[in-house]
Amino acid sequence: MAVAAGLGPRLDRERFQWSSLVMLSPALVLLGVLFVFPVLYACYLGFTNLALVGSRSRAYDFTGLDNITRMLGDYVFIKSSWLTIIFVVGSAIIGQTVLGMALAILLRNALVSVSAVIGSIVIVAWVLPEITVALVWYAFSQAGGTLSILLRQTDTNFLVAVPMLIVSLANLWRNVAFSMLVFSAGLRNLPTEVLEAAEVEGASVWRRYRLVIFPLLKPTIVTNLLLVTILNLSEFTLIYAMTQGGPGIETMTLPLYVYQEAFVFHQLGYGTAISLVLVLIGAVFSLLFVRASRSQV
Amino acid sequence: MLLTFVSTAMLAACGGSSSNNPSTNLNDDMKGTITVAYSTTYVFDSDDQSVIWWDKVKKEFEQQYPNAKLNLQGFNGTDVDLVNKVALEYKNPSTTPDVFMLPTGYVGQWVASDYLLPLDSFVSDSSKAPFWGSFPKVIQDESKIDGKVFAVNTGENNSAIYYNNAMLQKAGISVPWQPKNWDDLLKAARAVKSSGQSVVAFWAPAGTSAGAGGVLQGSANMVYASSTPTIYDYNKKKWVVDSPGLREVMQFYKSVYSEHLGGSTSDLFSPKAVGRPVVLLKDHQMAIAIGSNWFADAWTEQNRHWATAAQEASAVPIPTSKGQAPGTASTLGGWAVAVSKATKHPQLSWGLLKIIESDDNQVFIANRAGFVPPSQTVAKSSGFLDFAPPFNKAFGDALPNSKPMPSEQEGYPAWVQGIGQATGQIATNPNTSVDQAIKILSDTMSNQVGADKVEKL
Repeated sequence: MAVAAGLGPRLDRERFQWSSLVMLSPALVLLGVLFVFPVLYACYLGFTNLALVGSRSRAYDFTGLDNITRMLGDYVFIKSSWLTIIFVVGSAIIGQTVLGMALAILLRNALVSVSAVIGSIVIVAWVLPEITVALVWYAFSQAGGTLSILLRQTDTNFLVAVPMLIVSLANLWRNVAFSMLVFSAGLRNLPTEVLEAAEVEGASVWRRYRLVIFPLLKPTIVTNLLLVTILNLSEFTLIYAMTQGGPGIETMTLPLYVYQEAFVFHQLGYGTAISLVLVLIGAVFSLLFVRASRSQV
Repeated sequence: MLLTFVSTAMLAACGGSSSNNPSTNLNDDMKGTITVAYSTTYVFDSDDQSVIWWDKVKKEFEQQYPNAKLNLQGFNGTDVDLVNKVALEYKNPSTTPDVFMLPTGYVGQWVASDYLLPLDSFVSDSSKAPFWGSFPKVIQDESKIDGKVFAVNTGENNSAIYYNNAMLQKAGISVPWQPKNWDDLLKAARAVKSSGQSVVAFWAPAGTSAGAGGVLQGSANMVYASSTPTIYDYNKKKWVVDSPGLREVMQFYKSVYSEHLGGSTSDLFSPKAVGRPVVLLKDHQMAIAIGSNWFADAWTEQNRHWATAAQEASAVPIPTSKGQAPGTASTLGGWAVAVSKATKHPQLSWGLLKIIESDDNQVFIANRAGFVPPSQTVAKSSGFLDFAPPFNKAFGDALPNSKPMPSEQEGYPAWVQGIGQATGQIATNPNTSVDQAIKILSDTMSNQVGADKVEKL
């Protein structure tokens, strides 16, 4: 008993020492000032009618749920939300993940020299500044551009004919390297004994992937999905530089609509409210992925 | 504790202190430093001209007021970028510039924010404002809100029709060409097309990519030339989203694009769309264009040089739809300088305005930025007329029938978006009916400003 008391507090339970607050305070203050406060302040502004200029730039009011009600009746917002989901699901979740995985698998089985060359080319697309990628794809998809020549329709401006498809492809082209790298790293770290065992047991290539490799890669796949979703949800530069949301509102995803409301129409309050919805969509996707990663392999 | 303190301090900073009242804290012995905010990239034809002009203004200012310093605060980007960045500066009096050179269309919104100082006591005194008397009334009144003048114009842009003489002659049209109505415009464009010249027959700006500038220099001209030239109904305080005039405009666009007389979507929807006709006219790839007065100045600069522009091209005012009075029409929009209410040096700030408005500086900025000078003395001076003949004279003559946009109204950016989308839809798909195009404008406006703020004429 006496010996135990001399050992100080028990180490097998969670403890909290108030003195540690002093040590933590610089980090807490920084977090508070640079993160918590701006986030809460933005949440508040999302429920006001604040404007960038004009009478409501100074005398703005808390308007309760007005912005939310307005959103529900705002056809641009509703279309914009769908476009965002199409963009994220099509370009990021399906396109980037499937193509990234395919590239990673092909490069794994290719000759070292071939995989080095192909891998570098894919990564170059990722290293290029977004604005450069936008310009390349803009030129590529114009009437008389390379795409129209390849498809023998030189009079078609594909950025006007199928705008959402073109910006999604441009985004896929640029970002596929990210998924490829993540999957390559995942594939490289698989336990070889399990793969060899499957091979010795006579499993076909398809069965090996389906029953051994993909299940083992699941945490990597989920992490990739989480990251590409978050990165693509807020994609602005590429789309804005290519189409500015047009023609009409055909490529007006939520980040572009937020920009239009806040900085073109000067409705900072409403713009902030829409950006809160964007955060909400991101949170829903993230929760889904986190849940998926917890289920048993 | 510390966190609470810092947050509160930030809140106070964000809220801005209203106790900073300039009138109680005047320090007006022409001493001190004032700051002027302006666009480095969007006013002048080339950025180096902007540097030269502002350096000249600064030098003259500091010579005239030896105890004062001028702090030049230039912003890169478009007019929208300038306005957004400076709007954030105005949120706090300590970061507010003393003088701001802004697009005339934003003056009203700055006044609504209570950011600007009324300038009546200055402009009413001819010793303080020797230039004011030479401004036509339409320009004097441009920045007058509730009877008070809040900004002084430094230059205007208006629009007309440019055409290539040889291309029209080849199409069997005698020059100088004087279109009397929109039918004449379409007839000429059709003649150019059927004469087999592989050029853009008629440049009718459409779409949203060029923003407010693209609409000001494009489709809005046609609205003002239509039979109901009203964009905003000041009596009822409502936006006109459907009218016989708007339907004429949409029908005109439908004719242009369904008969393949217009430009390609690559050019129309390019973010540089406002500059495309300058290059296409110069390269002999375009016959007729709705264009702005600054095109003529752009042809005098190096990278878009067209030495024979005056011999090869002409400009003529935009006719009204059926030739109805006053016969011609154009939009009017320019740049103005204003003094901030938060300034501690109103007299010194006015001193700067006076230098900016000197005849010498006005000729320079008009020629290098492509402006029609607000002062009639300057507009008729040889320094201006001889710079880009015969175009400068044509646009100067068109000034009396030019009208500003209702851009001080809060819904204006949405109207720009709506008309851009409507015309863009016609250019993309000429099968779009006039009803559908009107509906795009009407839906955009109802969605943005509310159905109770729009009307049909």
